[in-house]
Amino acid sequence: MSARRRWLRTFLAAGAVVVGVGALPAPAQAHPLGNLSVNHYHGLRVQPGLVIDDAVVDVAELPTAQAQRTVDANGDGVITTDELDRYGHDQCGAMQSKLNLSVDGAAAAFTVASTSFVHRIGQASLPTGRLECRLEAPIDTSAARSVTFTDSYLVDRVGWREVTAIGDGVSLVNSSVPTSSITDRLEHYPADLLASPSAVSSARFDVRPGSSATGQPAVAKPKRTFSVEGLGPMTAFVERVNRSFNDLVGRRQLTVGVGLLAIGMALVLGASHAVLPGHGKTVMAAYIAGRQGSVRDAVMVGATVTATHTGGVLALGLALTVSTALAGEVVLGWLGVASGLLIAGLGLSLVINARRGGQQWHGHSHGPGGHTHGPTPHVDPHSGHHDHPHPHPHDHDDHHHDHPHAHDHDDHDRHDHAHGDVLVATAAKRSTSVLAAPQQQRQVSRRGLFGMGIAGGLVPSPSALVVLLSAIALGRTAFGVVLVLAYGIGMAATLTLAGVLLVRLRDRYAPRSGDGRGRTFLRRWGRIAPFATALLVVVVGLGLVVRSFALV
Amino acid sequence: MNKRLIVTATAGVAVLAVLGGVFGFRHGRVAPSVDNAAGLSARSAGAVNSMGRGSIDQTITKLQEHLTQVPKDYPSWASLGLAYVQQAKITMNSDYYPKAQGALDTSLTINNDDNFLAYAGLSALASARHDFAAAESFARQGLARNASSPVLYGALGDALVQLGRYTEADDAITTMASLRPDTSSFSRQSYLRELRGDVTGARSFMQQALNVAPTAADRAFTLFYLGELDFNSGDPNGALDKYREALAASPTDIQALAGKAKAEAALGQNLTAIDDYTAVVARAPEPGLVLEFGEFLQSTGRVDDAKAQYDIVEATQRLFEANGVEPDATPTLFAADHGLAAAALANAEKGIKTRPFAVMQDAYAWALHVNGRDAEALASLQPALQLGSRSALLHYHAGMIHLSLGHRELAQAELATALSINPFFHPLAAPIATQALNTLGPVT
Repeated sequence: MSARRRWLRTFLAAGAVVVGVGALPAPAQAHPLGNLSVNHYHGLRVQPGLVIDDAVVDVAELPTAQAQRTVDANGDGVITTDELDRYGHDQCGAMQSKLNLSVDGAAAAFTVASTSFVHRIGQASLPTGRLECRLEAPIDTSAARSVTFTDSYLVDRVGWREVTAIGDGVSLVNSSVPTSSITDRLEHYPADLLASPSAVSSARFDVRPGSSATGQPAVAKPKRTFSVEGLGPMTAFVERVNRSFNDLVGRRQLTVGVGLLAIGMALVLGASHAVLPGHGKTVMAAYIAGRQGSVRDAVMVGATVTATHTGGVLALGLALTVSTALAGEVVLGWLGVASGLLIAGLGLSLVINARRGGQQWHGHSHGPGGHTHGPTPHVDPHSGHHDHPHPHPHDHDDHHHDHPHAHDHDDHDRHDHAHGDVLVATAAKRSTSVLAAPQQQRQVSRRGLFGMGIAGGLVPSPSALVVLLSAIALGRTAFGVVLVLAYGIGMAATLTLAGVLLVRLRDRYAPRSGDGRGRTFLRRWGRIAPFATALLVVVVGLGLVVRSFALV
Repeated sequence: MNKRLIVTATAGVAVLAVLGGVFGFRHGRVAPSVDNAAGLSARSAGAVNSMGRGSIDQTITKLQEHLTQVPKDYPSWASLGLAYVQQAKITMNSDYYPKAQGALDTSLTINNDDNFLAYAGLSALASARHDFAAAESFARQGLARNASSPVLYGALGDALVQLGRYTEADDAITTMASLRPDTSSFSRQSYLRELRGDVTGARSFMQQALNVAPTAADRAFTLFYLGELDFNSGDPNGALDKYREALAASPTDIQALAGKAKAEAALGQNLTAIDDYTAVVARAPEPGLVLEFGEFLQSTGRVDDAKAQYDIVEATQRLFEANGVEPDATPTLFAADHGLAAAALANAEKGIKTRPFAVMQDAYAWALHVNGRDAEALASLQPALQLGSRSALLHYHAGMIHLSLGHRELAQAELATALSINPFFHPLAAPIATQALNTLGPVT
C-alpha cells in the first residue's frame, strides 16, 4: 500500500470514527468473530541461536464450552487448576505439532518451553479460555537465514489470526508480518470499517546476524500495540497520527529530514497526548490554582513530567524487551494505580492544609483543565466542574497582574495585595494561621508540585512505548530514546501551557473590586474553595486508582 | 468502567448479530453472492465498475480499496455495508455486523437524500438482527427513494415473511423477480412456495435459481436447498446427492456438510454422520446444528455425548438471554423437548411477538403443549396448517396436541401425514410418532 493511500485511509478511518461515534455502540469488542471464535496470535522473536514463539489462543465462550468435558479430565464436573494446567499442556503440544517452521527450507522443530491455560469470565458469566504457549526452536544465526512459519492448528475454526516477528540481537528483514501486535496479544481487538478481521497465519522473513541495522531494516511497519483509552475523536486522531508516525520510524532509509520530521511528530504527539484526559493535568491545574502557583511552578511541573515520563518509558521499554512474561497493559495498570494514590495523597494533604486554613485560595477554580479536553469528557470524573461560571465581570484593566507572582517565592504574605481586597479580607480572617507557618506551606507546595509532576508522568503513554519498542526492534534504540524524550517534552509543553494559561486566567478573573454582593459571594467561596478543590483532587486520584485497577 | 461497559455492550451486539446471522441464514434464504452489492454499486458508482461479480471476499476487498481512494463514494459505502451483512451470514462471523452498521451510517452521513442502497443495507441488517419491523420500515424508506430497486423488494419480502404477511411478501418478491430474475429472487419465490406446501413449485423455482447461479457459492446454496426439499419430502437418498453436489461446488459450505450428516443419519450411516456432524460443530457451533447433532446422538443411545451437545446449546441460550436477543424457534423447541417447559414458553412468547410466522407459530404451539395448554396450542397451529405447510414436524406437533386433547382420529391423521411426508423428520420425534400411531391403531 502506498504512503498516500495509507494517509487517505488514515483520515478516512478517523473521519468514520468521528461520524460513527454517536451511532455506534463501540468499535472495540470482546471477540471480533463472536462467541464461536478461536483466535490465534503468534509473536515470533528471533534471538541469536533461538526462535521463540509466544503463542496465544483466545477461545470464545462456545468453543470453551465444547472443550469443557475434555478439560474436566476426571469427569467430576469440577475443573481444577491441575486440570486446566494439564489441558494447557496438551493443547500446546497439539499446537506445536501443527506449526511448521522452516529455516532455509529445512524443517525446524519447536519444543514446548512453558504452557498455561486459564479460564476468564466471558459473556453471560460463561468461561472463555486463554492458552499461552512458549515454544522454542534452535536456529543457526551465524549466517543469513530465510525463515517461514505456518500455523495450521484448529485451522477450520472461525477466528482472528495474527502473527508478528521481531529480531532481538539479530536483524529481521523482508518480513511479511508486523513487529508488534495490533491486538496486544489478543487482549483488545481493533475495529476499522475498512479492514477485515486479521487472517494471517503464516510469516516469512530473513534473519541477518547482528542487531545493528547494517542491512535494511525493512521489517513491516509496526502498528500500535496498545489500545489507547477512550474512543473520542481526539483519541482516534492521535491514534491515527501515531500509526503514521510508526510508519515513518519504520522506514527503510532514515534520512536527516525524516529523522527531524519524526522528532517533530513525536513532539506533537506528546503534546496532543497530554490533551487527552487522564493525565493528572486537571489535578495539576487545580493544584496550581489553589496554590497560587506561578508560571515557574507550571514549568517545574512540566520538567518533572518530562523527566518522569521519559525515565518511565525507558525503564518499561527495557523491561518489556527483556521479559516476555511481562504484560504491558498490566504494568500500565499498576503504574496508574500508583499515580492515582499519589494524587489522592496530595489531595489529602491539601485537605488537611485547607482545614488548617493555612493556604490562600482564590476566588474560583477554573474547571481544571476542562477547556482543553474537547469532546472527550467521559474519562474525566470531574468534568462537570468546568462549566463553572464566571459571574464577576471585571471592569479593571488587567495589565497590572500579568505577573502577579513574580515575587511570591520568597515572601508568602506579600502577594496578597496583588489579589485585591477580597483576598485581603480572607487573609485577614485567617491571619493567625497564615502568619503561623508560612515557611512550612511553601515547602509542602514545592513537594506537592513535584508529586504532581511525577503523578503526571508516571504512567508511560502506550504510544511512546510503542515507538520505543519499534525503534528497538528496528535496531534504532538511540533514535527511539531521542523520540521518547521529544515525546515527553511535548507532553510537558502541553501541561506547562495549561498551567500557565490557568495562572493567567486566574489572575485575569480574580476580581479586585466589585459590588457588595459579589464580595460576599467571593468571601464565601474563598472560604470553601480550598476544601472543594482539595476534595476534588482526592476524588480524581481515587478515580484514577479505580480505573487503573480495571486493567490489572 | 468505561471500557468494560463498552466491551459488554458491543459483545451484546455481537451475539445478537451472530444469532441474526445464524437464523437469518437458516430461514431467510438469501443467496450468498447474488445480493452482494457489486452490481448495484457498479451501476451507481462508475468507479467500481470493473469489479464484476467475483466472490464476496473479492467484492469486499475491492470496495475497501476503492473507498480508501474515494472516501466520499456513498453508494460504495452502502454496498460495502450490504456485503458485510452478507459476509456475516456466510461466515457466521459477527464482526461484520458492527462494521456493516458503520459503513451504512457513513454512507447515509454523506447522502441521505436519494441513497436507497443504504436503506437496503439497513433493512438487511435489521433482519439479520431479528428486528423485522425495523427491516420493513427501512425497506419502505428505501423504496420511497427508489421504487424500482430489486434489492429493496427482496429486503421487504424477507421482513414480511417473518412478520407472517405472506401475501404482501408474495407481491414484493414477485416484483423483485420481474425487476431482476436471478438466483436471489428465484430462491425467495421457492421459499414462499414451500411455506404454502407447494413443494413442486418450490423445487422448480430453486432449479431455476440453480440454472442462473453466478458463482460456486450460489450453486452450493441452491443445491443445498434442493437437497432440503428432497429430505423434507422423505427422500434422504436424493437429498444426500444434492448435498454432495453442493459440497463439490463449495467444499467449505457448513450447511451442506450438516445436510449431508443429517441425510447419512437418516440412512443409518451413523459413523459417517457422526464424523460429519463433529466437523460441523467444530467449525461452527451454531445452536440449531448442535441441537440436531445432540438429538441424533441421543437417538443412537449415546446419551452422554448428546448431553455434551445440549450443554453447548444451553450455553448459547445463556448468551442469548444475557444479550437480550429475540428468541427463535430453535431455543423454544430445545427447551420444550428437553424438560424446560417454562423456559420454552417464556422463549416462545417473546419470539412470537417479533416473528409471527409459521415456523415460530409451530414452536409456540409446542411450548404451549408441553405446558399443558393444548387448546391454545391448537389455535396457534391453525395459521401454519391453513397455509398448507408440508412440514412433517408441524403435522407431528398437531398430531400430539390432538392426542392430548383426546381427538383420536385427528391425531391419527396428523401423525400419519407427518410420517408420510417424511419418516425421517426428526431422530427422536419420528419414532414417537410411529409408536403413538401404533397405539392408536390403523388409520380409518
